[in-house]
Amino acid sequence: SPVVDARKSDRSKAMEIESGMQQGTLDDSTPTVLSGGVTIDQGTLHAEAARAEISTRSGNISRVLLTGSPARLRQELDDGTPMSAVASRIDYNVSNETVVFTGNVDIQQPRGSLAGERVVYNMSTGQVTSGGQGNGRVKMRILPKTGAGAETPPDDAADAENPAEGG
Amino acid sequence: MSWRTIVSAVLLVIALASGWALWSDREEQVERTVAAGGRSDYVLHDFEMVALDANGNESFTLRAPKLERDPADETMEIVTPLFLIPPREGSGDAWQVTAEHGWVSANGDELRLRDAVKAESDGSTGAPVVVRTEQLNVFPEADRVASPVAVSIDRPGSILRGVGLEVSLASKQYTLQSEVTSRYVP
Repeated sequence: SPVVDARKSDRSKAMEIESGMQQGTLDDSTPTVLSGGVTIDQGTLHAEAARAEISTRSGNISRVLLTGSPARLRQELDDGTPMSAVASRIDYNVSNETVVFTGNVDIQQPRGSLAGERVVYNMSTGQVTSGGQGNGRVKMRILPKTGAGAETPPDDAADAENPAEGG
Repeated sequence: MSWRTIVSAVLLVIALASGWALWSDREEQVERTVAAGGRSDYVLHDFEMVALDANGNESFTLRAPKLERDPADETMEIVTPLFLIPPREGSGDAWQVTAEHGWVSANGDELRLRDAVKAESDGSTGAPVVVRTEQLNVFPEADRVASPVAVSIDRPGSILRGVGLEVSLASKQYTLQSEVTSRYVP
């Protein structure tokens, strides 16, 4: 799969979270639930969802689960190009810097797009793995280099439907 | 981001609530003289009161320049109360709570802190926490704490704000009911 590297400086930026309501337990025994529309901003990363669950470990965020119809995430990559993704569910494991998109996943970049039912994106290595484990087919669309950004008619574009890759 | 903030903030309330409930029970034995004309039947000036829990340990200390009791409705008004709350059972932080005004209901089942309410932990067991609001209502018997207005909880590296705090001390569940914003600096 294409190597996509998230903006590394984002992770050192302040994280701003807004929501309509927040519920949790005082002893962190259950995840904190944010509802009523949630937005999360950290550097170039911007996420929107109907609902979010934030899990903590010894007081620090370990996981953020966003759900919505759809949940949205966009970010600038290290090379400055934008990446935007929508999915029914975006599961960001902060500890191991991995994001799992599930449910009508559609990831868009200037170089192409990736659609499927399940996509795993490792923010530290930039590795994207899609499909697998009975998660249906993956549709990848890579635009040719000629005329940067210029779209050529569908039959010329490298429009490949490939069977699910090993997950 | 540290959600420990909220845990420390509300543990303070548990200490405050239980201590207050005991203090208000002890108040029953005080000899009361009914003053005519709605004046206080008793007034304390520049006092310090140490409330002890059922085991005789210090629950909290209250200092204030003035406390007045209204014989008509048996409520008490406290001017610029300062609560000093030791760590609970020898662990956790000590807390200091101040406000412009304090009010205690007749049967001691509600404590209202008003105007510039500020609760600060001493940070002895974790990062120091500062809770600010304009209104804090404590209901010891119902194990409940609420604030209908904006509340902010600041700690090094994080600020959590929301409007409408509701806390059940029994289940440790809390809700910030609207306009919730949080900022975490890594």
